[in-house]
Parts: sequence; structure tokens; C-alpha cells
Amino acid sequence: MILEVRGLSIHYGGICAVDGLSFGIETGSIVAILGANGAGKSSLLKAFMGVCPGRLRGEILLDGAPLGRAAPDRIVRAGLALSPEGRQLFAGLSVAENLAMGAYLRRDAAGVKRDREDILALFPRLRERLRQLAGTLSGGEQQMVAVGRALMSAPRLLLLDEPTLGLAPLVIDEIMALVGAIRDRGITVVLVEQNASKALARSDHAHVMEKGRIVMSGPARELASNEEIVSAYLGTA
Amino acid sequence: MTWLPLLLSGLAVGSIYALIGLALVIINKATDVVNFAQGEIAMFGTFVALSALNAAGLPVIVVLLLALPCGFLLGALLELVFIKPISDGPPLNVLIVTLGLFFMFNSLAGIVWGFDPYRFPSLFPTEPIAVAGAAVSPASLGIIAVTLVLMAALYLFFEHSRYGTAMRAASMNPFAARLMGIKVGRVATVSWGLAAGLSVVSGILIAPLTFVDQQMMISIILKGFAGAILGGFTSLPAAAAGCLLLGVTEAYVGTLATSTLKDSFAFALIILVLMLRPGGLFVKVARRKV
Repeated sequence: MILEVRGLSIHYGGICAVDGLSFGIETGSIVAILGANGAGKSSLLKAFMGVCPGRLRGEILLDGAPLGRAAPDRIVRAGLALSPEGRQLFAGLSVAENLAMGAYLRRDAAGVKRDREDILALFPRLRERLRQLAGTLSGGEQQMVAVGRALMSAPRLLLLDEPTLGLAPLVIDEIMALVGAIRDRGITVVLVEQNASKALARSDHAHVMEKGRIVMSGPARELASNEEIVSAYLGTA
Repeated sequence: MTWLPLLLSGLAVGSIYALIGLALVIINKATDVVNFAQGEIAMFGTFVALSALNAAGLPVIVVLLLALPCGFLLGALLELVFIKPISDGPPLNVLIVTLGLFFMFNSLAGIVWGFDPYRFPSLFPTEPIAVAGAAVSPASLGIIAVTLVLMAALYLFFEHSRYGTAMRAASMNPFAARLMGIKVGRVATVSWGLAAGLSVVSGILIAPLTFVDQQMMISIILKGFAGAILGGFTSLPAAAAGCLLLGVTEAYVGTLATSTLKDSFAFALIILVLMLRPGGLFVKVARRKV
């Protein structure tokens, strides 16, 4: 178990975004967290990274040790990285600089260079765009930069928040195929998605969130085959 | 060859504006405010430098070299004490605090050093030198040279160093910067330090040509601000270019018309330019591809 959540609640003022969650993420797996807009998925990922502005209660454990209220730089060093919702690139920096910022905390120049090559092999289109400003790329390319930037910190656990939002179907398949390739490199992946069927097809395990709670958990294949569940909780799947 | 000395003295004055203008842009990028106290920090630092010269007897060149690091410490300290505690509030609050700092330094200088102007020793030789048949002031050349060196250093730092790139990243997207492990709060402190360091250098460079008193930077911060907006307030090179252009334009207008006209002419020109190019002369208004 690489990450474990025990009784985690997140409040923004009087509004409860996450309500007493407890679950764990197996090392080496792809875990999908599904649910409608406002179910608390993004808040959860931000809490993992130490950048959630809300009030937190409960515990987040990394490798069995409580993270406490660690600052994001400590969490990145501990092996977590987030590709945030809406991509959040440094629009005025080049693709190369965006990737370099992903490795901001690393001091092993040789390792950074190796990982950069590996990431460019994963996203060959980025190699042609290295000198281009990130803000001028297409949506799919921007998403690749966001994932690549997160990978540049050499994470053990990669959090992907809505990586396919607003992308064309062909690009969605391209991004989803990469999720498997990332796991094959030994990186645990948490995939937050509204696009339930695509996410379930790629994941080992899935949790369905509604109003800040997990209302269903199980192997992804079982959830995907249960049409009743899919239509009830995930809308058009 | 009457145009050469005029061009050089215009560029020298523009360099002083540019150092202040760059300081204003650096702080604006980090904290989203215009630091009204920038000129007063420069004035205060120049008084301290003068005291170091007179009381401690330090050589002029040592004082010039110490200006940047000492100014940096002063600026970083100001950010930690006065700005950081209120930085979660709206930017207007920070703006008001910089106005407060303006009056604080202005009064403090008056209390400590009085209200009479002081002479500041020359940093460069005073004998004019002959360049291509024209008599050129070494002070102009010296000011331009020091400024160019600082600009080149800033360029290398922001474009090619890890921390400089991180500062630009934090300015563009603080949330994403935190996800990278960049300490965004520290970026603000470093920005204030850098800005104050540049300002103190500008104060020491201009001091031998004017006098040192508590009003010495008032018109210079206005010109630095105006020049930076003329070039483009969002970009360091554009802001610097705008300040240099303003200095040169003023120099020519000052000889063609009366020198009393030159201030109002400068601002009339800026208003005209901004009506035609709202982003500044050297900045394209960014169009984002969606």
C-alpha cells in the first residue's frame, strides 16, 4: 500500500467536500476515482499534494507513515506528483522549461536527463515542440506537457486529474494508452475521471465518489460490467 | 558630432530610469502590486552609502559593489516584515503598505540626515573624454556600462538559471509552481530583494550628478514607472527599453525646447503611445490559442 487515507474530511467554510474517506492505493496499480463534478475528487488529490486550501481532518499515510500537514515540496520529494485539472501549464515558458520545472527539486542531473529522454520517447510530439511556448500548443499537446512535467519529478505515485477533459476522442485514446505505459515503468497511477468507461477500461481498481463519500469500490472490470451501477452513478457511460 | 554626447547623456538618464523600472516590474510580477516605496528605498540606501563613505571611509568602488547585496538584504527584510504578513489579503492592501513605506523612509531620512542636500563623490573621472571628436562625460559612459552589466546579469539569471526560471514560473502560475515544489513565498522575498538592490545602485549612480536629499528619487520613480509602461510593464526587456527611450527622448526635447517642457512632453508622448498600443511599445498583446 503506497498511499492510505484514514477518515479524511475536507471542509471549505461550511461546505463539506470530502466526508470521512478511508481507502488505500496498492503499489503498482492503476486506480480510478470516478464521480460527477463536485464529488470531491480534485479536493482529494490536492490534499495528497499539500495544496488543498480547505480545512483537513483525518490522516493521509505514505508508505504507512503519516504525512501530517507537509508542504508540497516535501511531498514531491517523497515521490508524489500531480498533473492538475485544467493542465495549469506555465503558458509563457517553453515546453523544455515546463519539463525542467517538473524536475525543479532534483539535483541528479544525469537522472533528470535520462528521465527527460524517456518522457520524450513516451510523447514524441513534444520533442518537435521543445522550444515552443506551452501556451501555444493544442489541448492534447498541453495535456502531454502536464503529464510529462509531473513525471519529471520521478514520482512513485502519479496523480492525474481529468487528463482527458475537453480533448477530442482520438486524443483521449492516446492519453489513456499512455497511462498503461506509465504504470509499466513501475509508477502507481491514480486516475480521476468523469469519463467513466474509458477510465474503467484502463484501471485495475476503481472507487466511485458521490458528495464527498465513496459509494462503491471494486475491481474495475466488475464495475464496468455492472450496467445498473454505471448508469446510476456515472451517468452516460 | 553634437548628437553623440546628447545621446549618451540621454541613455545615462534612461539607465537610471531603467534600473528603477526593472525593480518595479520584478516586484509587480511577484506580488501583483506597484511598489511606490521603490524610489525611497533607493534614496535611503544612497544615504546609507554616503554615510559609509564619510564615516567608515570606504572607497567609492567598494560602496558601489556593496550596494546590490546590501540593498537586497534591505528589500528582503522589508518583504518579510511588512508584506508577507498581509500577502493573503487583496493586492490593494499591499499597495497601501508600500505607500506607508514611502512615507516611512521619506521621514526617516529627514530625521536621520536632515533636509539639506548633500554632495556625493564622483564614481567616475570628471574630465570629459574625446570620442570621435566629441567631448563625452565619463559619468554617462560609466552609468550606461554598469546598467548594461546588471541587465545582462538579470537576463542570464531569469532566462538561464534554475531559480530564475522558477521565479518566472511562480509569477505565471503560483498554484502549479507549488506543485513543482517551488516555495512561492520565498520567490516574493527574493523579488523584493533584487528590486531593492537594483534601486540602491540606481540611487548611487545618479547621486553624484544631482544631490543626495530625501526628495532625490521622487521624479525618478515616476519616470521609471512611465518608461516601463511605455515599453511594456509585463516584460523586463521591454520595460528597460522603454526607460532608455524615455531618457533619450527627454534629452532631445530638453535641447530643442525648454527643459521645463520636457517632463510634460514625456508624459504626453506616453499617453499617445498607450492609446495606440495599450500593451506598450515592445509587447505584443498576447493572443492565446485555445
